[in-house]
Amino acid sequence: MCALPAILIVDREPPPLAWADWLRVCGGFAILGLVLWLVVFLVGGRKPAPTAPRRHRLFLATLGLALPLVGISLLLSATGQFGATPSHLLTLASGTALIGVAAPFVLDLTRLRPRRLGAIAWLSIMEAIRRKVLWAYLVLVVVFLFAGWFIPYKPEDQVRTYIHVIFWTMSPLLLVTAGLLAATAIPADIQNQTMVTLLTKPVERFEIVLGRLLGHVALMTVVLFALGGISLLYVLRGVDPDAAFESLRARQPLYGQLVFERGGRRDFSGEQSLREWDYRRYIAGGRASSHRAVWLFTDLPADLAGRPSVPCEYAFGIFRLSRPVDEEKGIGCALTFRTWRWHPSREAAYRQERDRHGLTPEVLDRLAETYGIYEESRVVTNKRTFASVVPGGLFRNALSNLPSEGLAGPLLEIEVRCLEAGQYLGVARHDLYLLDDDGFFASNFLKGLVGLWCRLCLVIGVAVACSTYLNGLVAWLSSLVVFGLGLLLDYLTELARGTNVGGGPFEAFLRLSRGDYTTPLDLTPTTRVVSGADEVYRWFVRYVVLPAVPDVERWSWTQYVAEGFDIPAGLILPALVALAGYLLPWLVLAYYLMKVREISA
Amino acid sequence: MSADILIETRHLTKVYRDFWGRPKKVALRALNLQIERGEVFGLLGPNGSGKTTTIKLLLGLLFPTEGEAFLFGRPASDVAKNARIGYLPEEPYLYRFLNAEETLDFYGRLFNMPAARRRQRAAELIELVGLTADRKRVLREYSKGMRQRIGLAQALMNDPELVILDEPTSGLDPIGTRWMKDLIHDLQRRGKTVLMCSHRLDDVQDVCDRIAILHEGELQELGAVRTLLQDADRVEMQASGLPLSEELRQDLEALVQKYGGRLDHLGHPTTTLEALFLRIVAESKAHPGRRYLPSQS
Ligand SMILES: Nc1ncnc2c1ncn2[C@@H]1O[C@H](COP(=O)(O)OP(=O)(O)OP(=O)(O)O)[C@@H](O)[C@H]1O
Ligand SMILES: [Mg+2]
Repeated sequence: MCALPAILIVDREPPPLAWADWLRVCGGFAILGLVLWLVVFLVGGRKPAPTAPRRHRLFLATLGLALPLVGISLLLSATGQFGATPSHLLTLASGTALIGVAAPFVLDLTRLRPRRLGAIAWLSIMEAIRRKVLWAYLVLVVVFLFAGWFIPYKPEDQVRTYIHVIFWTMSPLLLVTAGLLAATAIPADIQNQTMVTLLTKPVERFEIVLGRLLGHVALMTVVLFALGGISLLYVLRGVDPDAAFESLRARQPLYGQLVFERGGRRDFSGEQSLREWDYRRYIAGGRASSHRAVWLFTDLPADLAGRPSVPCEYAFGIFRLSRPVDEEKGIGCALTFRTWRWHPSREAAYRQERDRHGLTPEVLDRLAETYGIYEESRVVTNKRTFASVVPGGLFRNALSNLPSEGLAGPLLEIEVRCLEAGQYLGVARHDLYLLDDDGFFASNFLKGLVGLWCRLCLVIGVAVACSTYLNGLVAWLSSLVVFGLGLLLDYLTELARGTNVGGGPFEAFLRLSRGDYTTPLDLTPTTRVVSGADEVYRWFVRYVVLPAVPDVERWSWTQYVAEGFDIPAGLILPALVALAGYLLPWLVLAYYLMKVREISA
Repeated sequence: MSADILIETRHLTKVYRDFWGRPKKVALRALNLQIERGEVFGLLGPNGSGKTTTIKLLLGLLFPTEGEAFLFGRPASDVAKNARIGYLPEEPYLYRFLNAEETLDFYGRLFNMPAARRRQRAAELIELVGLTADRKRVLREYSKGMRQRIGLAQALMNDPELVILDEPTSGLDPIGTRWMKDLIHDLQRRGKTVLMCSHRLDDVQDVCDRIAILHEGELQELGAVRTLLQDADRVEMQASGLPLSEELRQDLEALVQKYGGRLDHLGHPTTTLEALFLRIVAESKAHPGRRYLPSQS
């Protein structure tokens, strides 16, 4: 029972899809867009001829409804009447704006024709082929040829290293080139005047946007899966048997429900750590501590009963109050597996029998089957995965004599205690699992490519949307910036909440000029202005920048593939929905920008 | 509005602006035009007089600063009207990485034409514009005139009711020019309406029924070509097989004087260079490899 090198650390679980938040954010941007429209076209004195008068009236009516609502709610929250911010008023306002902005878009969607969309998509593909752009991707093959020279070679790390090298070369290469191709298509059409010929055909302007988007997505899909296929062959070719055993797998874990216990009661939700983004909750250690973390399994596959043993793997976080001499030294913790048929009244009998027969695997298996309990203590180190081999007897116990009317409680509980005083053990739901099965590495690899595919779609979508207004180069950079901000999302969130080190940019500047980085700011007029400016900046980041930044981590599953974990199906569907939800507002923006665009040399 | 008016502009005005919305150039001022079904209408004017601007406004590529434009009784910004229009841009702006067949097929798809019809129509048009031999070559390799031809084919893909041609003869040799003019006549015979703009006066004169002359974005003259050009107090007479002599001159002078006129000029008419060029090429086609020497015939 050695420590497995395979670690799957999900530092931050993807947030659940929040429809209400999504609608609110879209509504907020709709209001912003309408206000900009009002300023640019009505105050700026331009006549937006293509926006039919009907659309004008709709926009004006929407604004006429939404703006007073926003005004009233701001006023109310400023006067502090009615307690908190009247959020339902804001919701109403953003809902109105959303309808006003989305209605013309939705109505125009009915005019799209597959044949025209197909023609424009086909054009994008032909362009890439005829211009011989695709040869650029052979660079990747070169990387493969020589990667072997640079990769430090350790048999058990082989697959993991290869996967990381593959994804880390493929992602930037594909993202950057996909963004570039997508961002330059429409601007080049305008520059070369081919757009003139295009728009004098019965083509909806949005069809050009959507057709380009689809074309580039199709193109990159082919490129991605072709390169992916080659990479897969490259990985499979001559894998070391050790490495294959470690990582050429797709473990399918069974997760339980995590509850916390204190003083024998389960109304505890664990101690929070001081680190805001730490997703783990902590239990206090020591013999005297009554803290427990318990995973409840209400459902287990029936075939577990037929196995000689079932692995249980876990990786916990450790938070130490006192710094030990050796950080790598682990702490002890105890795991107790109990089935629903275990009863405390039999504890004495169980212990007696166990002490009599010694701790051979056969005995433990028999005891587990008879009593429904299995215990193990071990030393764990911070965030490393360890495995226990749970005797199959436990599952035979759990899955037999099931009452026909169903069970009130869980089938199996796994209780974890921390044995060392002064230490805290951090746990999260996915930190402990029973290993059900192994899937196919190859299909898991392809699933991993789907994550990259989502990111490609994201970059292509943003690039195409930006290119309806900006020139190609700027649109390309914008798409990369949006993606980059997505990578920095956690940091941005800290910035918006003011929890990052060094404060906002203005405070940082002040500190820099004073050469003082640690002492809290005193209250002088200068520092007041500085923190006020930071407050505004934070507000801007929080309410304008953050909602527009994609959570790109949601579409990154390399870790699963590299560590040999099956990418759960439950991750893929929400990721696709989130992608659509993120791109939709960009497409609406592109729809309007394209609509008001004049085509002149 | 009568059903026979295909294009109408009312007070159409275009001011190009910079990014900040400040006016940069008034390209078209209060243009009022009506073009009827079946006409060949010419838009005339020196470089930069606003011809292309007018056409782009009509096609909804630009949006008017003031005034309105209607085609087929619908606003110019209406996309559906494009199904009945064929447009040949100033320069045929086509995708240079496609060949002639692919180009026509692509635009056919934009007209939502089914595949069989696209193929048939493309073959017809390639034949019509004389590119059959080059139909598999990518447009990058085409000469200016060949591009103009494929541009025209592209404009006729949907068998349009209204054909808008921006400088149709630019880049064409005299034969091509003649061919283009014949084609315009042919379109007119088939009941199509043609709006063309050009600064090549001879072209306009040859094909247009009515013209409008623009200068600095303002309409200067509008009317039927024949009435605009007719010189009412001069008479022209041409005869063949008549040797020129002093005797003939005197007789004619007397005759003209008898009717109260005055003989201004008598001599051989100079043929146009166009006519000469056409004759040389025709001769060379009939007897390839032989030099045409007009003095020997
Ligand atoms: N995008 C633009 N921005 C600013 N000014 C423009 C723009 N396009 C055209 N113009 C100006 O508008 C005027 C009319 O241009 P237009 O292209 O309509 O002329 P034209 O009659 O077609 O000329 P040509 O015979 O050379 O084709 C010109 O003075 C030109 O400089
Ligand atoms: Mg022009």
